[in-house]
Amino acid sequence: MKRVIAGGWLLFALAAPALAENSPEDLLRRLTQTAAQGDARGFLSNLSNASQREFANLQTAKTEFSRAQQSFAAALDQRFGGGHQPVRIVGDQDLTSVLARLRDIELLSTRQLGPNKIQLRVRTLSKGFKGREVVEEDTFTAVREQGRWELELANLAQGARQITTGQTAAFNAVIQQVRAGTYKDDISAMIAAANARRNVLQGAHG
Amino acid sequence: MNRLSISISLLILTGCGTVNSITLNPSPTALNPSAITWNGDHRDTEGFWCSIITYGLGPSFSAGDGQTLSGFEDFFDPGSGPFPCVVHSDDVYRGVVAFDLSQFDNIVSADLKFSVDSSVTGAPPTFVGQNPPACNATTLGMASSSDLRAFDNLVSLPPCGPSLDVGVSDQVRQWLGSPPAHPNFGFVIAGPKLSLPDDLPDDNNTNVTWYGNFQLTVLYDPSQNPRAPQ
Repeated sequence: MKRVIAGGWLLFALAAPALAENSPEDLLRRLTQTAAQGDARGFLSNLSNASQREFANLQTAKTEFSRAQQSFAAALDQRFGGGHQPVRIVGDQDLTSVLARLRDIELLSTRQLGPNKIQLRVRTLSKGFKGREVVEEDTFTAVREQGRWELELANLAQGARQITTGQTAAFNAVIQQVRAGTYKDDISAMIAAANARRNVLQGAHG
Repeated sequence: MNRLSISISLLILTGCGTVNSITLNPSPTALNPSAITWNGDHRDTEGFWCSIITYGLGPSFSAGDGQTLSGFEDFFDPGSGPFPCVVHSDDVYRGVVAFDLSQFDNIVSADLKFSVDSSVTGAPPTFVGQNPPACNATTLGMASSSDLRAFDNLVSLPPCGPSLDVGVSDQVRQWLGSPPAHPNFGFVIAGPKLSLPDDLPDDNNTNVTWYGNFQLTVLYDPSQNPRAPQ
């Protein structure tokens, strides 16, 4: 019996690090570490499979949006004369730059939602504009996939993709109108495109 | 009486020699390859998590050949529906106009003239063109860096009208000489916001003006400017 108990403790001792590595705390640690290392791919690998798929879809949607912006400028150039290509605007942030802002993620509480699903209440500390500290408290869901907890951001990514896709469609509609000669000048066309994009956002938010 | 007439009258009164006048169109300088362009600053603020996943954002306006623009575009999304993130995305637009002054060593005076072509205002949720156009640029400066974003020697622009006329003798003199007192990256036309505020506003206001027909009229003594038309 003693041997069995000793063996049980041995098993627990061996399993303990593995358990810690598969805990929600470990998920937050992995997110913080990969962000600190500027490892965008590693950071994303800690999202659920569905989130990663949606994130990839969002990137595709953003690429199409950028292409629509370029096409819009080209359509304006063709119809009204050159010069409309978007000038590089300083301040756009890529994912690595955003990740560099992260300082810490603290787990405040958990609520089990199922055997492989847990709700996490977290406090996130990041650096904002001019190094200002930004503290957020959010509730996320983590799901266990292949024995590892991963963060669920699929709904957010899907929402962003819907808006981006809608804005791209709005741009493309105005591009057709520019080509058809609907607008008297380039500024009227830009106003139409801006309004169409804002309408997408209004529609998205009801 | 405009500045040109005043300058000529003063020269006649003071008994100076010949004074020539030349009107220049925007042209690249040794330091600025663009005769007329624009730039801007952009910043999004969202929480950390929402910054990871953003939707398509960016400036709505640009300027065609021969024009530039000045103003700002505030975007605020309080967050709901499919994307419950609070989003601020703001842009400021600044115009840059350059003139090649390499033919001058010394000038009598210089005046910058340009037209106020169009403007747009954002009356949430829609943008509308304004007639007559409003003047959103408030300030004329001298670009002070090769990226054409920094600028100094700010002066206020005159009240709005179909066209504006600004005395720029002091600025032009600083661009002359070897070496010049100030590198000639061109003029910056900016405002009403000269830069993005630290705290981006919770509004969707937009005010942008397009300017064109830039001309710089220079009065000079040909005897002191052998490379200029005699």
